[in-house]
Amino acid sequence: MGKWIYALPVALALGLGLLFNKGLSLDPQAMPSALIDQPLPSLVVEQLQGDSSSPRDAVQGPALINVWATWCISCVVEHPFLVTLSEQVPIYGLNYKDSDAKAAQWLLEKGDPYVLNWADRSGDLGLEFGVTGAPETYLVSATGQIVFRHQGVIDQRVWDQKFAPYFPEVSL
Amino acid sequence: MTRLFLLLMMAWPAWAAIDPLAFESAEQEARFKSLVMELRCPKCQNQAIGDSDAPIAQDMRVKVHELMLQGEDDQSIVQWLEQRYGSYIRYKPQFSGSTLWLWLLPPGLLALGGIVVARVMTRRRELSDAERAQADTLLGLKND
Repeated sequence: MGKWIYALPVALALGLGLLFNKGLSLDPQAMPSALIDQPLPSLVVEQLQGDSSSPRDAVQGPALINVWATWCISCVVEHPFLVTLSEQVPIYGLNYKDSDAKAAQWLLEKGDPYVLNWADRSGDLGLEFGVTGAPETYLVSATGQIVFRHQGVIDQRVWDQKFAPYFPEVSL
Repeated sequence: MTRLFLLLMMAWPAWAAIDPLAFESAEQEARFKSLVMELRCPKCQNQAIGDSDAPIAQDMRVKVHELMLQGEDDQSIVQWLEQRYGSYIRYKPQFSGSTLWLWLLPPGLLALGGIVVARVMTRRRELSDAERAQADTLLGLKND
């Protein structure tokens, strides 16, 4: 022992340094969904088009559920990619805490990538999903369970890294 | 009049931030206030939902209030939110497999520190006569 005890603080400092370095590269906002491997919420909500349905009954997986709003700036960035993606992957929209009129106008102007849209005016459906903000996208399996949630914009890079492995037949 | 208006303008954000939630009793209100301080806001992470003005925190407060009026107890309200947002939203983590170290590490380290201190203390030994004499000389208590 003796001399080696002096190496201990250095080793400790190095260890802590590595730990903190790892901590710096983590995203403190990232929060995995609590609903992984669970069925979709069964809350029945009115759709933008007028009918009412619950995600559990309406969604045919594999599909995406995209949380968006006209007040969400990142959603403007994300929208063109969703429009392209929707040609090959069904996307369901959750119009989060928005005005129906503004949402309809947005879809008219920028194109409508969604199979359907729930008008979650109060954010109740958002709470069922554990939504933390917009945009957010949930991957739904063929059997109707949530596989994972992506927080933030989906673009080509995010698609390639996180979503593409689940859709081998889709090429973008 | 203008003065009153300006004063009201200044006060506006303060009363806009208060949710218009009605309670059945003062007890219920107290329960609500302590419960929302135990729940962590998922968007503004170092704040409780009772502390935060984020829209999601407001929605969660409204939900907590709604569930409370439906007669749910604190435990089932926390569970309702935990099912959707994960254990993340508890400020006080539950004692379970994945949080075991969180609860046991601090008392463990304290015990370890205690053992180290105790060993250092007991290692103190008596001085021999020669050492005692030398110490006395050094302290100037005795001249030889």
